[in-house]
Amino acid sequence: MKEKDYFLDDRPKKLSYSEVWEKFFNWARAQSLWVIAYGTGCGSIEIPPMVTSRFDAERFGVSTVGTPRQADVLIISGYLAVKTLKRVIRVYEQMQSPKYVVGLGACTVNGGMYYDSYNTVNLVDLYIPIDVYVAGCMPRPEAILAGFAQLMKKIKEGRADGWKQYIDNLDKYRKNQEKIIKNWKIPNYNW
Amino acid sequence: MKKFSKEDREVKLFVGPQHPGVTGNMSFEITLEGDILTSVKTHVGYLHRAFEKLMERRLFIQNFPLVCRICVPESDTNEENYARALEELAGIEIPERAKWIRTLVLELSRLQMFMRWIGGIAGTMGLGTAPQWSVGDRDYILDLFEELTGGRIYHIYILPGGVRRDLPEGFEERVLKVMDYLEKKLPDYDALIFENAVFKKRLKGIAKIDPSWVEEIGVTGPVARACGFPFDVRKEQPYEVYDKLDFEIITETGCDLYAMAMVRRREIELSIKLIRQIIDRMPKGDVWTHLPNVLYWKIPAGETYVKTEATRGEFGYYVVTDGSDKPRRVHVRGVSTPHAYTLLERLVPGMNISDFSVAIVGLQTCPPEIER
Amino acid sequence: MEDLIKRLESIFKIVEKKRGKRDNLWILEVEKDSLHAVLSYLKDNESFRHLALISCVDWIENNKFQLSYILWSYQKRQNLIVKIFIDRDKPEFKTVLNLFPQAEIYEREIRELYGVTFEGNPTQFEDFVLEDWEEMPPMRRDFDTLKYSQEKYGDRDSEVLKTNIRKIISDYTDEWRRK
Repeated sequence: MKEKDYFLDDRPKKLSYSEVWEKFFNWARAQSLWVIAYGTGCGSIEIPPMVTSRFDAERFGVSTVGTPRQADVLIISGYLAVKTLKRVIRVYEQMQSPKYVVGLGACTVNGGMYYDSYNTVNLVDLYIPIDVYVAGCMPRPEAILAGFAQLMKKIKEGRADGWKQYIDNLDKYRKNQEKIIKNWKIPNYNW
Repeated sequence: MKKFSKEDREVKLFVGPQHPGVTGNMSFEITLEGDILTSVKTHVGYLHRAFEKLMERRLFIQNFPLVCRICVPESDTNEENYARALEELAGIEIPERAKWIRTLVLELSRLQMFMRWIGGIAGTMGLGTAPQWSVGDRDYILDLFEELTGGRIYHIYILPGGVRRDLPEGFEERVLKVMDYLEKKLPDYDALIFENAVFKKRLKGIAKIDPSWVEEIGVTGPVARACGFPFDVRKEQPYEVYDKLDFEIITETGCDLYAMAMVRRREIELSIKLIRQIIDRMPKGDVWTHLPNVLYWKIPAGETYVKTEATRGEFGYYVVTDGSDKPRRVHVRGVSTPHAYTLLERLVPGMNISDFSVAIVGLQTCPPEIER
Repeated sequence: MEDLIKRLESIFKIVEKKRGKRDNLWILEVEKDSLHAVLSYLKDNESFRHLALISCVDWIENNKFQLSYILWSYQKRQNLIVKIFIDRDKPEFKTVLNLFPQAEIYEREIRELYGVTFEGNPTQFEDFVLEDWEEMPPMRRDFDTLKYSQEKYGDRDSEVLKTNIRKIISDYTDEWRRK
């Protein structure tokens, strides 16, 4: 079997609806955000308290799911090592649109305390469009919940359009990603 | 009918890094024959932040915010190791009360990690109730940490020369209250998990360790104690005030995942007992000695290896100084490095695929400390 | 413990012996060629069966790499650091895999982060933590991690990053203003 059989090489397309439908969809999308269970960094230590009994994120419709195909939200929990970045891009592109990214912690903004590390990227936004940042190291579960509330608000207002930007500027993002990842074996876009 | 060779029957499967059954961000390359595993290859490096390189670039005191981030779920062990190594090299004696407070913080941190582990192993087996209980109960301990240090996860509380501040007023009573609550809750945990027939059936006889491997590979902690070896750094090489506390090393003889789980179950009781003892016997006094100006603090050349009993076993720091104001080399011995590589490679052949992620969580592999 | 050191000295050449700053720690420097013999003597006859860590230190000013083997004896309750120096220009050594199976991982790590190769370790050239690394081994003292990070991932004081961060901040402040 050829490697190509696993992938679809087409570029992603945006579907456009009338404004009323878009508004309705956005309202519906904001009500149930399913987070992919992928702890990319140390921020994932606060995800279990967030989804279990004390902080109970499920009251906001936020719950975890195992596979990228069913997920809406990818949490970049802290620094991204180069090896993880490759996997994160893969996971992000496998997620179905509309999809949102939440960046946790100071390291996603400008590298944080790892600004001089040879293995962590400094600004995640150059490689993957991030919709909401949550400040802190670690952000408390309340802060993460506040970040989700912010994300819901942004979605309802139609401003959480990172995934549209990613489709529009795919070449630019690819160029940034290829600067870091040397051995780029994945296709142009893997659905 | 066509006969298949061994190569045709084998399937290669990638587990992780994005996989709900893997602890943290690591991946395994497993080879299957039917649903029986034949071999495993561990891949780490997804969390490599080059701590050891960054620490060589920063002053001794600047390293403290870095050090606690090396092992995410159990940060105090790192601070303790680093602080103790620096004190040993610089020849600093810390006050008696600071030692007791450090021991208290270390025991609390072990306790919260065990509670989290219950959630981990039960979650892997699909027992959804247990994480809701244990992670929720763990939060009571994190609240104590927050009151004491200001942070839930990263504390930066244990510094060379003592601890950052004294216990707040009435803190002891609040700790005892949480301990009473947890002790009252333990029979419920027994009924839900440790005495649960499904839990026993899933864990008994799985990942059976040959006791001769333990010393050969360098396995420590609950995994070694589950094979009957009384290896516990708190007893072998007592640090802080562990030599003044009364306790026995917990051992089991099952050599399998259930024995490891029972060691951890009894360790929870032991931790509660030790915390009560510490609070009972804690003396009054200072918590901080005078340090030289930390911005120009130079430590004489030397090298040392210090270790602390983390929940997973012997957590060691190898620190080399060369007389300058920065460490020459800090090498962290991640406890689960031999567990995740050599031990797992020996355990896996013949294991059923459904037991694989239970085995990873049962051995308590923790990627951030393997790769730093 | 002094008896042990004496016994060792009668068989092997000990270049330097030093007591650690605490009681149960000794640091021994031995000759490069006799390391395997020393380790196997300690393991078989003196109960130092637990290899806790293999570490490497870069002494760039002396043009040497230091390899430290940290041992622990459960019977004697003693820590022993056995160290050797190897040439920095020719970073090669022999593996101790035949004595300690877990050395495979520690040696792989040192091979990757310092570029010291261990003859006889079959898996040392596999990736440990880095992927597609083309520079010099990163833990060497002459590798400038700050410069590498600035060139590859962007300087945090650079205009690209600053404008991006400003964009993020203004996104939030707009939000506040609209309230």
